Amino acid sequence: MSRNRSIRLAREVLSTRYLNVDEVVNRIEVTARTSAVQRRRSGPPPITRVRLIQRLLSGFHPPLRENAVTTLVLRRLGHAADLVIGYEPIPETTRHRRLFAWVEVDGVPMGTSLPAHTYLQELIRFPHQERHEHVQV
Amino acid sequence: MNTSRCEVHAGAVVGFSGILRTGHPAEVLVEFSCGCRVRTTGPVEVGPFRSSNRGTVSGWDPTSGLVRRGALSMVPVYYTTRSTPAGAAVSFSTRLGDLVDAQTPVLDTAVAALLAGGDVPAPLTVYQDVFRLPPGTGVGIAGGRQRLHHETFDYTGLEVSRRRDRRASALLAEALAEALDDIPHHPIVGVSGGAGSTVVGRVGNRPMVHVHVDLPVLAARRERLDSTVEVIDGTPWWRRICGDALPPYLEELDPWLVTLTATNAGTPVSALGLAHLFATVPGRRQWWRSGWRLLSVAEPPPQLYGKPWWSAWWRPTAQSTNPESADAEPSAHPWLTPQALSTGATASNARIPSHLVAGHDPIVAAIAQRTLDLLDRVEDCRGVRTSVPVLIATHPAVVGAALVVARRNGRRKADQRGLPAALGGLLPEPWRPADPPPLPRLRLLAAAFVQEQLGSEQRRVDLLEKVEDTAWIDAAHLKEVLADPRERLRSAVSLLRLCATVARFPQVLRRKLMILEADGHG
Repeated sequence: MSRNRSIRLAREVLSTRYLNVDEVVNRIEVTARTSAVQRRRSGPPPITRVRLIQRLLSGFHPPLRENAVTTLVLRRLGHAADLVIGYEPIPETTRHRRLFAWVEVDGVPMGTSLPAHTYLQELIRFPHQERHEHVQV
Repeated sequence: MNTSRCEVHAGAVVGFSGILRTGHPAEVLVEFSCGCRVRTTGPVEVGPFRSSNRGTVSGWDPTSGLVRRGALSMVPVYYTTRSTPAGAAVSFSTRLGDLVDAQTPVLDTAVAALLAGGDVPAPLTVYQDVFRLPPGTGVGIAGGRQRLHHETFDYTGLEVSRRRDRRASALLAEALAEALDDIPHHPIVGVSGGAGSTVVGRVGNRPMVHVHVDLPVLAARRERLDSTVEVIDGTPWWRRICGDALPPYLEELDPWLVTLTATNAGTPVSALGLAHLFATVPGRRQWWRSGWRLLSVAEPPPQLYGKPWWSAWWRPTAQSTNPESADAEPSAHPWLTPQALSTGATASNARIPSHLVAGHDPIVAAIAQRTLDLLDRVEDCRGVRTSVPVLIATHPAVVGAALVVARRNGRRKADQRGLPAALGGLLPEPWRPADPPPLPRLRLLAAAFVQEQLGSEQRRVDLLEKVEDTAWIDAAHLKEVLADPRERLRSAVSLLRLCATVARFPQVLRRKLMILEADGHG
C-alpha cells in the first residue's frame, strides 16, 4: 500500500476520533448513500491496516466501535463493507444474549475469527438499505 | 508370571484392583481387554501406550509396596482406607465402581459443587472416604498406617532425545508420529474440525473419523472437513444418550466418543488440548507478540478499552492472555439457594497446586500445569464413564517437543512466531477453525438435550416433584423456568446439570430434605 494511501487512512480514522458509535453509524449510512462502491479493487480490503492505525492513533475501543470505524473507512475507500451485529443462538444462563460485531465485505466476514456465517445469528446490519432479513430475537 | 498380556488371548491390561493389608502380601486382580481376570502378586502396569515409560503408567509395584500413578498417566486410581485390628487396609482399583455400592455415603459438598457447575478436584471424589490419586502420587502402607508417596517427574529428561536444530513444525510432527506409533491398537483419530485433531490425523496418516450429529447448526461443520475424513452419523447414538436413564454432565456430552467406542474396533485417539498445550505456553517474547497482535488483529481485553496504544506492549496478565477466560461459563445459578452454593464452594476450593508444578522454571511449570489440566479433563470422578480416548497430548514425546520449542522460543528467528506457528505449519491450506467453537458447541448440545429430555409436560412435572422439597433448590423459580420454553433454552446448561445430579444422586437431595425437617422441628 502506498504511503499516500496510508496517510489517507490515518486521516479518515482521525476524523472519527471524537465521534460516538451512533454518529459513526450515521456516517456509514450517509457514505453508503452518497459515494459509490468501486467495482474493481486492486487488492483485499486493508482491514488489518485500518485497525492498526486506529489503535495506534486513537487507542483501544470496544469491538462495536472499532468495527464501525473500520466499516466507515473501508466504505470511504470504495469497498462494499457492512457493519453486522449478531447474537449467539443459545442464550447465556444469565438470560442475556451475547452480541458480536464484525465487518463483512461483499458478504464475506473479514478480519475476525468469529464463526459469523455458520453459528451466529444476524441481528442487524449497516448500512440499512443493504440489510438482510431482519431476525426477531 | 508375566502380567503384561493375557496368557490365553493375549489381551492387554485394562485395569487392576486389590487390597493392601498390614502384614499380608498384596494380591492384585488384573483385568485384560479380552475379559479375562488373573490374580497375581507381581508388578502390574496399565497405560495407554506401548512403551513402558514410568510416567505414563499406573500400577502396583511390589518392590516399593506402592500403588502408584505416573505423572502423565491417564489411568486414574481410586483408593479407600479402613482401619482393622491389625492396622490399616487400603482397597484400590482403577474403576470407581469397584469401591462403591448403593450404600456408600456420598459427599454432599461434592454433589453441591457438581450442581453449581464446579468440579471435584483430586484427591476428592463424589463419595466419602473414597479418594483419587493425583498424577505423580503413590499410596502404600507403612507402620500399620496409610502413607502417600509423592513422585517427581524429570521433565528436563524429555528434551535429551530431541534435536535442537529441528524446526518447530518438524519437531512436533516427529513427536506426534512417535506417539501414534506407541499406541498398541490401530488408532483412529476423532476429528472435531479443530486444529489439533486435523494435524494429528494428517501427520500420523491414520484413519480420521468425524461423528456427525443431526443438529441444524452443526450441519455446517460437516461441510468444512477434509475429504479424507470419514463421516459417521452419530444421531442414533445421540438419541440414545438423550433417552438414557442417567443423563450425562455437560463435559461428558460428546457424542463422538460414545459413537466411536461403540462402532469401531480401533483405539480412539483424541487431540483434546494439543492446540491448547502448544498455543498457551508463555514464551520469552510472548509479551512482544501479544502486543503486536493486540495492535493489529486480536480483540483487546476490556481492561485496555480507552487506553493508549503503548498499553499493548505491557506484559500481558494471565487474564488477558487466557483464551478461555472470555468464554468461561458464567456462574449464574438461578434456582440454587445460597445454602447450596456455599456447600458446593467448599469442595471446589479444595484444589491445591500439584507438587509436580512447584519448584521448576516457569516454562516447565506451565507445561506441567497444562498437562495436569488435560489429565483432569478426561478423568472420571463420578464413576460412570466406561472408556476414554487416548490423549495424544500426554505422550512424553509430545510433552518433550512442547518443552523444547517453548524453551528456545524467541532464540531463533524462525521460531519467534512461537508455538501456535508450530501447529499452524502442519495444517492443510486452506483451513478454518471449527464452527461453532467448543464451548458454544457444548451449549448447543445441552440445549438440544434439554429440549428432548424436558420436552413433555410429564417429564417437567417429574423433575419438579423430585426437587421441589429440597433445601438446595428454589422450586418456585424452577417451576417458572420450566414453564417457559425460552427460559428452558436460556438455562439449558444449568437444567442439564440439574437433571444429571437428580438422576445420579437422588439420595443427597432427599437427605437435604430430612435435615431441613429436623431443623424445623428443632
